Amino acid sequence: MKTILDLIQQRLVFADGGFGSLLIERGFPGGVPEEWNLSHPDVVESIHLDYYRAGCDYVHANTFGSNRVKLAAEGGDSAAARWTAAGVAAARRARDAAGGGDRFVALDVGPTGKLLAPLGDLEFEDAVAAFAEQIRAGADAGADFVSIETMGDIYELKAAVLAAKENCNLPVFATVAFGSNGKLLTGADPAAVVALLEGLGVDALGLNCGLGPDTAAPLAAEFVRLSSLPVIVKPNAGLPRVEAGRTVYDVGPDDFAAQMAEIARTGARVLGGCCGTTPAHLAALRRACGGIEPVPVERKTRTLVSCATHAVELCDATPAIVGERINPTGKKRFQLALREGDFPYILRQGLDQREAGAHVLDVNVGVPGLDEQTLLPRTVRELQAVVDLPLQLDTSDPAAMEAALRACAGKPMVNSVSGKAASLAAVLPLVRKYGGVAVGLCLDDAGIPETPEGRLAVARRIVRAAEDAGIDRRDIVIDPLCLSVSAEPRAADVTLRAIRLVRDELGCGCILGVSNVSFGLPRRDTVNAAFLLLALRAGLTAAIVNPGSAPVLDAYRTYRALLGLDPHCGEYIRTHAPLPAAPAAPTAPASPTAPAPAPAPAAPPPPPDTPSALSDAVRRGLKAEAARLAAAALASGQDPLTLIDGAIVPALDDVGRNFEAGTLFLPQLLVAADSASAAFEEIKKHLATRGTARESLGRVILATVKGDVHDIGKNIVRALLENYGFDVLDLGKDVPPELVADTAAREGIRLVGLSALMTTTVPAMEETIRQLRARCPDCKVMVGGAVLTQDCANRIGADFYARDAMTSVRYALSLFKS
Amino acid sequence: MKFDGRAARRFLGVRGEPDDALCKRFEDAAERVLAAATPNWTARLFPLQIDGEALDFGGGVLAFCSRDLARNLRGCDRAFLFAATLGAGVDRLVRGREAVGEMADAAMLQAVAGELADSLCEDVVAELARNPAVAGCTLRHRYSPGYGDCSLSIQPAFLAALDATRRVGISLTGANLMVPTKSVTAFVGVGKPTESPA
Repeated sequence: MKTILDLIQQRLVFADGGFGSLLIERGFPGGVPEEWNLSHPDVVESIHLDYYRAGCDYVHANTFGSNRVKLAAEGGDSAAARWTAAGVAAARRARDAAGGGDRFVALDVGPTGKLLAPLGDLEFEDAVAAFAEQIRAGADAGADFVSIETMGDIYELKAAVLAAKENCNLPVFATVAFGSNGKLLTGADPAAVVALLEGLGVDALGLNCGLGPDTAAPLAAEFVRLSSLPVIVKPNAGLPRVEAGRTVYDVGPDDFAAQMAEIARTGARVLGGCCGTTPAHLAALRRACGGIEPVPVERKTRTLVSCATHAVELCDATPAIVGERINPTGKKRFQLALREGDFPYILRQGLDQREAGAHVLDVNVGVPGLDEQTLLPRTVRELQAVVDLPLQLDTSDPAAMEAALRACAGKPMVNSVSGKAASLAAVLPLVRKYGGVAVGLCLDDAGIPETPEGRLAVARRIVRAAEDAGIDRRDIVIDPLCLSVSAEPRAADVTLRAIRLVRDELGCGCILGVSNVSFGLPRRDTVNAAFLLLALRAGLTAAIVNPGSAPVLDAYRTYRALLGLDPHCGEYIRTHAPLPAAPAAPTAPASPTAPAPAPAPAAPPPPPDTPSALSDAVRRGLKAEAARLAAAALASGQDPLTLIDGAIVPALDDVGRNFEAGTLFLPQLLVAADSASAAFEEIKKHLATRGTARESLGRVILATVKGDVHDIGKNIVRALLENYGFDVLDLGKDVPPELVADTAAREGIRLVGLSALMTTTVPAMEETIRQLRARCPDCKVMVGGAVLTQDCANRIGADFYARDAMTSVRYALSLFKS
Repeated sequence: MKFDGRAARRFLGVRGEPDDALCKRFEDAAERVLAAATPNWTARLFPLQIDGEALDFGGGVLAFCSRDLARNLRGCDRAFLFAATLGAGVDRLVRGREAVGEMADAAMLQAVAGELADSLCEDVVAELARNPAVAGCTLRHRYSPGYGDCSLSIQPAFLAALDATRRVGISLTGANLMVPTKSVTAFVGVGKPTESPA
């Protein structure tokens, strides 16, 4: 029997058009359209039949919103599966009534209507589960394929496609809704969409809704240019406006058909409509496309990785800089951050590398004794919420790799697979399922071959195994590996020759951890930069380096300028043109977005009164200065404790008193706190190399209560408490009462701080206090937040009402110092 | 959208004349919020029936009770519902600064975004006032769910009435709070046309 995919191979395929307005015309009063699949199946069926009769090859069953997350808002979540099944059944009856044959029924899967975490509160796996239920019901009811539509967020799109792949064997189509800026609501461009969807293995992709055919046309062309799959285009009938209380659209059937025919000529293979289009639009479209020969779908060879907003191409013109700094190997401070769950430290490494010019971030969190299977996906989630760069997942633990691949909101690099049989068997299926660019290491059970030809042989085996596993060759990059030239004089030459062999024979890209070559040599940056130039010339398409190394990045930018790969030397000039002198701002540091310059270890000897200068820097909020002075003082042998108790904390106290007196305000208090943090960071680094740490004043739990997502107030309190030397267990926002009580009981906590901004969440605060009293009678509770007052705090049984951040600190100090 | 920093500074409790350095930081924050923002809004005019505290927009599209809103809308036979947002980019910006422990910066961005969201609403209301359907009518002050006794529980139906999730990307959390967080929903009552046009 012919499938929808067979049909797309042969000719242009026509989807249906809008559904909701037709349902309203037939008496639907508003509410949940899917309910009519059971209550008015004849009406639903008749709309589908009209579309089939207009010449549509497939219709979307009336199941767009029948997932339990979306229906929960309408109180119909338990009906999701039943309404889905009834919707598919109605469409199938319409197909039979139209004469069956080469007509198909798509299970329509629309968004949940919720924003996924971390911006929203729907967890990724909960979204997958909701889609899974809908997809199983639709597949069981006999849908011919799954059509995921109108997605506005890359992460939710991934959840839907994964659910389809994991819960049925049907073909999967996926289309997204762009805004007039050519991006999805959460910022993705067409390349990010194509990279993700092709990686996940959908069968056709494109766009629907959002735009009219005129504004959809350039985006459709972009999809055709980027994708190796059939492209679907289903725009609205122009722009909506309200007329006499009804939404109407301004593009009539003939105009719609004419514009869509143009889109077909540029290469789209599946054409249909969305809001405002009717059977008349589709009939006109079918007529207008009568003589159009479909443009063959061309296979593309670009190697793309992506994040939630954009894609990065690994190629000769713009070899990718892969930042290597998120890696604890040999870094005590980084290991400490991982052990303590100090994500701000890790995220700063990501942001700094982005600022320095990284295109991709390598993410390695392997530390003996820590659970990588939890830590790696968590790091991925935290990073992608803050840094918009594609990631390179770096682990040798396949379970950690799979968890990270699920969590990743894009198409990552998978570092790595080797020529060892066990590695091939474990990693390649993951790349196939989740999408990604596999990094193939030229080593096997016999070790690293000594000759370029030996490494090519391993690369050949990896490529063959990957292709056998269904991975496109463009999604493999080979790492020919490089040993240190100080240990192995021919190491660099062997690697360079291996790169050329791989590029010439296998045609896939090459990646290299460039810094290994200089191990054991002085002035490693110089060696790395020179080797990078040679490797780029040999055909490297991605370089794993420290983007913070000026010689290395200079070499990269110079290389592109010299070879005419940097149009008009634009990037080179942007990076190296002298910046206008920054105006002197005595009480404010430079732009808060600029990364604090790393304090030079060889700073000039500190002035004799460093502690008082440090105090002054903290008081005035001079962040970089505070870090520099702290580092200099430590380097000159000053005692960290003296710096803390003699300089930093007194300065904070001063600022705090002025804040309480009303002569300084919250921004100045926070700027001082940030400067103190920068100084503490230096002390922490110093202590970490000695295997010690600052003594804690005590442990405090902070949480924004259940139902509330406003957590900046709580975060400010956390920053101040940490500055004063408290250990803060931050449970985050929207925290259930049980979690607060459990954690306090388990950890023997003496002070809990709760925050709430909304009146509606005060009852949750009260309940949290009730549970805390029951579980930990000795624990004190302080509360704060916009809606709280002393009266309210008394009423809900708190021990202390903190009217501002400083008051919380004072209370904590009084409690723990008594 | 206009920005003068006064509201933003007030949100953070800054009183009196701030020093230049502080003003500069607020201005810098405003620049970054504007760069990250994708302002978007949608609105619709509904017939309105008021019966005591009971309000009915669009003949059952959105019906609920609120004494305070009924007072705001007294004498109106129509009302705009609008939903406006600065977009997810602003949330990402603020979160990003918080996540790396830049609290001063995060707090200022947050405050500035609050001022800009208000300013966006002023722009929306000005645009609504130009709508030919309400020529000669006066518009009431905008009134948001969550004010007074107007419960946040109407938010799902409010957003649905505007198809705001699909149109402008505003969705709700389990507690009916909006994400992106710098989003506003509001009613703007339309008074009956004045007898003699001004």
